[in-house]
Amino acid sequence: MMKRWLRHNDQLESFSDKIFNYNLMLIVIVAFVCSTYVMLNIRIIDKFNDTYVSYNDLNGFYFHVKEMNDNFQVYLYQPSDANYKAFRDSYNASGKNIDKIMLSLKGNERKWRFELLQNMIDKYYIDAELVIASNLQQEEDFNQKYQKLIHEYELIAKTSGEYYDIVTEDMQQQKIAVNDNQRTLHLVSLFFILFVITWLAYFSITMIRSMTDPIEKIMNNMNRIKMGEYDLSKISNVNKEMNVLCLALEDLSRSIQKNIQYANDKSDLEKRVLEQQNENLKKDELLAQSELRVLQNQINPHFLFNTLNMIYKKAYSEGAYETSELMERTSRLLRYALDNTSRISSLKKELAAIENYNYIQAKRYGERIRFIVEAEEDLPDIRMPGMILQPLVENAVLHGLQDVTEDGEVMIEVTQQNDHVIISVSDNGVGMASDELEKLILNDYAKGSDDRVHLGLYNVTSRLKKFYGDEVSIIINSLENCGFEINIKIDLRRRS
Amino acid sequence: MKKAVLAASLMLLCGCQTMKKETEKPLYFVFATPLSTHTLWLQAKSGMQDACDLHHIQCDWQGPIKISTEQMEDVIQTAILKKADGIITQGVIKKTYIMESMEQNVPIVLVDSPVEDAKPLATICKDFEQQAQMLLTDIEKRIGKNEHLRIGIQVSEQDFDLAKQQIESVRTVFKKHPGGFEIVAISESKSDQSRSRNEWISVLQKEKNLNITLNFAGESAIGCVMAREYLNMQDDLLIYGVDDMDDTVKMIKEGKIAGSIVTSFYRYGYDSVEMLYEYVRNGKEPVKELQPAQILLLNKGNLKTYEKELKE
Repeated sequence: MMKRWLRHNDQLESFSDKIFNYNLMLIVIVAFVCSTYVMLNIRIIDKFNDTYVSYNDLNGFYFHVKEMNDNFQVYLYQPSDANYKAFRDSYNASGKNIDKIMLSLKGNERKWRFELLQNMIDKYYIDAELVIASNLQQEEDFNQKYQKLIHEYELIAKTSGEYYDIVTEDMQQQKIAVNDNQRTLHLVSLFFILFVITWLAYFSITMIRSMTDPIEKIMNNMNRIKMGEYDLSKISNVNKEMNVLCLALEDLSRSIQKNIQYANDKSDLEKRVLEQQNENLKKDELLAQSELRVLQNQINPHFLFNTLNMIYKKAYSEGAYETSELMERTSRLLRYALDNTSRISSLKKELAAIENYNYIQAKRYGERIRFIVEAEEDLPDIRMPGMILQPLVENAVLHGLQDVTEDGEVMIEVTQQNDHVIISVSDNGVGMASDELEKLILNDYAKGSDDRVHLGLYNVTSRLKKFYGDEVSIIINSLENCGFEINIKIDLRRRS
Repeated sequence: MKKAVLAASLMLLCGCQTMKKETEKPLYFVFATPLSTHTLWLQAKSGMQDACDLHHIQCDWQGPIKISTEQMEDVIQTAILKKADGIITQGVIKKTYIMESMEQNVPIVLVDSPVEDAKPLATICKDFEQQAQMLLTDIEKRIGKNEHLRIGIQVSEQDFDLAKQQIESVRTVFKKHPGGFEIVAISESKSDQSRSRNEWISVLQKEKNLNITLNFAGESAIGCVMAREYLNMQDDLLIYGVDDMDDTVKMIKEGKIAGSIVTSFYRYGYDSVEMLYEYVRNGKEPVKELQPAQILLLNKGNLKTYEKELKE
C-alpha cells in the first residue's frame, strides 16, 4: 500500500503547483481580456479617427475643387505657367484628398462612390484642357464649352451634400458602432468582474477546502487510528503534500498499532502468568487440603480394615469359614475401592475387584442372579480408570434385574479382537425402550426418557472418555424386556 | 488546451482575415427618375434594384420629387461626369443629353416615353397607337360606334414628346370611329393632383358637352373624377386614365373611372437594367431600339388578374 502511495504521489499535483496553475490561468485570462479590451478601444479610436480624417479630406477635396475651378478661371484670364501649375496642383490635391478618403474608408461598402468623385474631377480636368485648347484656338464654341465646364463644376460642387451625407452617415454608423462597442465592453467588463469574483470565490473555497477538508478528515481518523479502523486513502488523493502527510500518518499509525499490539500481548501474558500463579496457589492449597484429607482418610480405613481382619480371623478361628471368606472379600473390595476410585488402575486389577464384588453379590442374591466373568487368558493388562466395572454390574443388578426372582444373569466378558480390547457387561433384565435408550445416549448417559438419573453409567462413561479420549467407544444395546448390554471398545494401537 | 492555444495563435497571426476573391469592377447604373417618390416610379425602382442585386450592380435612384426636367438633366449630367456604366430615364429630357451620354460611352435606356431622334441604346415604352386603339375599342363598346366623341385630354406636360405622341396617336386612331370625334380641350397636370383637379374643373365648366376624357398622366383620371363630383355632373362622362395607382383602381371598382391603360413599371426598371447589363458586360445590343411595353386596359372585369397578366 505504501509503495502504491509513493508511486501515486508522483502522479499527484502538489498544492503549490495547484495554486500556481490557478494563478497562471487567471493571469492568462486577465491578459487576454485586457488585451482584447485595449485592442477594441484602439480599433474604435482608429475608426473614429478615420471618419474624422475622411470628413477633413472631403472638406479638403471640395476646397481644392473650388480652388481648381478658380485657378482655371484665373489661368484663362491670365494664362501663365504659374497659374496653370496652380490649377494643376489643385487638381492633384483634390485627387490626393480622394485617395486619402478611400484609404481611410478601406473596407467600407460605399468606397466605390469616391471613385465616382475621382471620375468627376478627371472629366472636369479633361474638359478644362479642351476649353483651354478651344481658347487658344479661339474656337466659336469656346463659350459653350466654358459654360458647360462651369456647369460641371457646379454639378461636382452639388455632390457635396451627397458625399457629406455618406461621411457623416459613416460617422453616425461609427458612433453607433462605438456605442455598441462601449456597451459590449461594459458588458464584457461586468462579466469579467463577475467572472473574477466568482473565480476568486471558487479559488478561495477550493484552496481552503483543499487544506481544511483533509485536515478535518485526518482529525476524524486520528481517534480511529487507535482502533486501526482509519482510512487515509481518500485524503491522500488530494495533493502531494497531503499524500506525504498521510504516508507519515500511516507510518505513525502502524507504529501505534504495533505498540498497542505489544502492550496487549504483554498484558495478556501478565494476566496468564497471574492466572497460572493463582492456579498454582489454588493447587497448593488443594494439595495441602488433599494431603490433610488423605491423612484423615487413612486413619478411618486402617481402623476399618483392622477391624474387618480381626472379624475374619475370629470367624475363621470359630470355624465360620464362609463368613470368614465374605469378610476377606469385602475387605479386599473396600481396599481396592478406596485405593483406586480416583486413581489409575489396570484391566486385571479391575477383573480381580469385580470377582470380589460378584462373590459378595452372589452370596446376597443366591439363585436369583448369576454372575459370570469370562476373560481371555492372554489379555493385555492395559491401564484404565479404577472402579469401571463395578458400577456397570451394580447398574445391571439394581435396574435390569431388580424385579427378577430367578435365573437373572450378569455377564462380564473381556476379549481381545485384533487391536481392540472389548469389555462387555450385559444382563438379561428388563432392558430399556429404544426411545429411552436414544435419549440416554443423547444426554450423554446422564438422563433417560423419564429424567431418571443414571449416575453410575454417566460416571463410568465420562471417566472413560476423559481417560481414553478418542481411543474408546461405548456402545449400548438394549430392547425392552430383552436385557441391557454395554460394550466398551478400547483401541490398543493408540495406547501403544 | 495546446491545440486551442495553437489555433488562437494562428488566428492572431492570420488576423482572422477571410480570403477575398478578385472580381470584375462592379458596374454602376443611374436611374434618373422623373419622380423619385411617386408610387408608380417606385415600382420601377424596385425592378431596377432586383435586377441590380441579381447582377451585383451598384445603382442610384435619383431625381426630383416634383416634375423638373432640369433636375433630371442634372442627374444625367452628373452620371456622365461620374462615368456611370449606364443611365435609365424617362424620355422627357432634351435629346442632347441622351446624345452626349451615348457619345461619352454611357449607354442610356429610356422608359415610358421616347425622345425623337435621340438614338438612345433602347426605349421601353407603350405603343401609343395600341393604347389609343384599346381606348377606342372600349369607348365604342360602351357608347356605340355612331356616337360623336367630344374628347378632353390631360397630360403631364404638353411639351413632352411623350404627351405629343400620345395625343397624336389618339388623333390617328380615333379617325376610324364612325361617329367622328373632336378633341375639345387639352390640359396639363404638371404631375400634381390638385392642379389636375383644378384644370379639369376649368375644362368641364367650359366644355359642358364632353363625353370622353382621356387622362395620360397618372393622377389626371382621379383629378377628373374629383372635378366631376365637385361640379355634381351626371355619370354620362366616360373617364379613362393611365396607370394603376391605388385611387385609380378604387375608382374603377366604384365605376367612376371606365378604364385605365396600365403597364408594368416594375418591368421598366428590371428590363432596362437587363438591357444595359447585356450591352456593357457582354456587348449585346438590343434587337431594336424601340421595345414595346406590355399594356392592358384595366377595368372592372380584370381587376383581380391584371397584375399577374402584366408580369407574364
